[in-house]
Amino acid sequence: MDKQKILVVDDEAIIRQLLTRSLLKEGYEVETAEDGNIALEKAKKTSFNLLITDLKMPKKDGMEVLKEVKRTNPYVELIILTGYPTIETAVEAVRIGAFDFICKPFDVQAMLTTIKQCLEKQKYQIKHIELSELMTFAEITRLITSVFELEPLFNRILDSALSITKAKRGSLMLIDPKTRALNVKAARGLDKNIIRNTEINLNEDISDKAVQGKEQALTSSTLNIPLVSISSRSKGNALGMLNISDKVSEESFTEREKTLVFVLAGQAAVAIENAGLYLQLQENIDGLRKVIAQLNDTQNQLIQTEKLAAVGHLAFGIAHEIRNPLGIILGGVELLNNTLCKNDNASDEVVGKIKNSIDRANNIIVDLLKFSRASKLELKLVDLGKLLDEAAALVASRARLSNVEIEKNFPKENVRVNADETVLRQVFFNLYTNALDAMPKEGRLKLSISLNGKNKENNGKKENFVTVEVADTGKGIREEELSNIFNPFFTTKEPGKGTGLGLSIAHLILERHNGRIDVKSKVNEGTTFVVKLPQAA
Amino acid sequence: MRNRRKILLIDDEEDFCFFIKQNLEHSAKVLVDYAANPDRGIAMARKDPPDLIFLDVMMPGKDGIKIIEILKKDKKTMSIPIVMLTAVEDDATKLKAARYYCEDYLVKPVSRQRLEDKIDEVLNRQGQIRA
Ligand SMILES: Nc1ncnc2c1ncn2[C@@H]1O[C@H](COP(=O)(O)OP(=O)(O)O)[C@@H](O)[C@H]1O
Ligand SMILES: [Mg+2]
Repeated sequence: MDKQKILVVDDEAIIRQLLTRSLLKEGYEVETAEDGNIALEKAKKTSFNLLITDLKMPKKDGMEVLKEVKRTNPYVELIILTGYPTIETAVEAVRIGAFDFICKPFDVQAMLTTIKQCLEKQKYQIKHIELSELMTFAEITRLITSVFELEPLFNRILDSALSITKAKRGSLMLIDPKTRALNVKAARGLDKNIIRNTEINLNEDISDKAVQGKEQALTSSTLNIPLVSISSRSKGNALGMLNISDKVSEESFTEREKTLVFVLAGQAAVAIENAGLYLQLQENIDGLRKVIAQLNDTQNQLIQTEKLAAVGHLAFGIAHEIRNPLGIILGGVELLNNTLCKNDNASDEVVGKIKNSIDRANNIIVDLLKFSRASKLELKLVDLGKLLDEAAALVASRARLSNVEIEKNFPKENVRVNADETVLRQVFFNLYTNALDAMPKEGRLKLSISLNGKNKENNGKKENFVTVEVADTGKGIREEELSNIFNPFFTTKEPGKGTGLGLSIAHLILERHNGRIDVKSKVNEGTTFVVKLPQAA
Repeated sequence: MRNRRKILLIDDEEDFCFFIKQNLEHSAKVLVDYAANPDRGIAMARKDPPDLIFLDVMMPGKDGIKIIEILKKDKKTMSIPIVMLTAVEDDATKLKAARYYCEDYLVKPVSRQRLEDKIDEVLNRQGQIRA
């Protein structure tokens, strides 16, 4: 352990000599000063554990010396030695925290005991202070390493540095890896405009500065502490700078504060790099999540499309196998009706029912064949508004009969898509028919085309999408049915009224046009089908 | 002009042919012959050309497209109007039949009324051309 250092200040040589001899014998390191100025000089060079000083001295009063030394070395202990004790000086001594107030002449042995007690007390006090400082420091670094968002992290680092050094003003600057300029990331006690415009260009390599930094920082009243990377990838590279100035008490920074803030800077550099990595990771994960969601979506669409295409294929294969017997049944039943039971009301009714069933069976074939038709498109430029109108004309009289008003909201300019006209018209016809089915008494069917729909990334290049909305004020679709409505043969309509194929066909057709269909619905309020198609250039 | 027009139906479904013959003849306007075998159908058309032929597409041996090609290339039969009457519905087949100048393409099941309307329509047109 280092020897404890004592500075004896007295203008009487005899006292200096007496004390020096006794203290050296006790194993202390001793220096002396015969006046206040010399004492201050010496105190600047060495940080003493104890100052023993006379009060009445030429040039500089002992009390002043004490105050000044205490300012740069707050842990220094004081013992006052005086031949003229007064109440005032005693009070003053207590106020500045002197350990004892000894009157001349004094007993050397008693003096040595006092010194011993004083230094013992100091040892424990320093330990205690260091410990509590370390605890705060540990807490601060723990907090720093637990922040992963950059802005709060920067602020926390700066605040920690300021609290450790008890300073008012400071900033944290980081080097932009691309421009190599220093940007202010956090600041305290600085003018906002200055901060915003501060961008220091680094012509010289800052890592050199980083090495010099320590020396420089230790001597100046402003601390400029480099933040240096310790990650294996960029070890030694400067990340930025932590600047601290203006101590609260206008004192200069103590060595202990400087050391702590340097250690803090090391932790801060780690935390900044970690946060950067964390952020990058988070972005990657977010990106990955999006890709996975997209993949799932695409996969679902693909499965649906393939399912429907398979239905079309199958339908094409078996359509005539079913229609032939249907043809025979129809021929047979008509023969029965014409010849065998002529003018028989009862049999007329039976024949009517059989004919209806034949129609039902045939309608399913007709719908199924639309799936296979959707697989062989003949694309050309189609005016979407015109196509929507044509499909609407097909349901106009039905709409009138059930008091449904058809409202159109199309843009002034023509909107064109690349499409198979016949097949695409089928999509909107199916949607209108469903809407009318949902509004048997009255309602409103709203058709709208909009161009400013969302852009969709397609193989890296942006495509403009046209959005068509077919909205009704009908009975709506129940939550649990929503996920089923695009499935083939799903229908909530009476037998013979629906084949459950309309939306599946629409889905397949749109998929084949690189478009998509989505639905929003509220029971008893209405349903909106949203169709998106790539806009023709 | 003959009183009752003669119709030839070529279709491999015997039951279908029988019902159609009964239904159409019931109205007493036309006489219907039918062949369930494609080659026999062609032979019948050549031997005694009918006023109208209803022709199926999918048949064993020769399909309807082949038959219409043969009939439309034969001087004896080329002017007989042919209406396709089939359970097969696809654009490619329709297009081929149209290329051989079929009058129409009807997809089963077809009601008697529809067939009679078609017969009237085609034969009237034919009559106008002849007149
Ligand atoms: N506009 C709508 N309003 C309420 N329900 C609808 C609407 N469109 C579709 N649906 C529901 O979706 C089901 C499936 O529709 P679709 O595939 O066209 O078959 P279908 O109309 O033959 O039943 C319908 O039976 C109905 O329950
Ligand atoms: Mg429908």
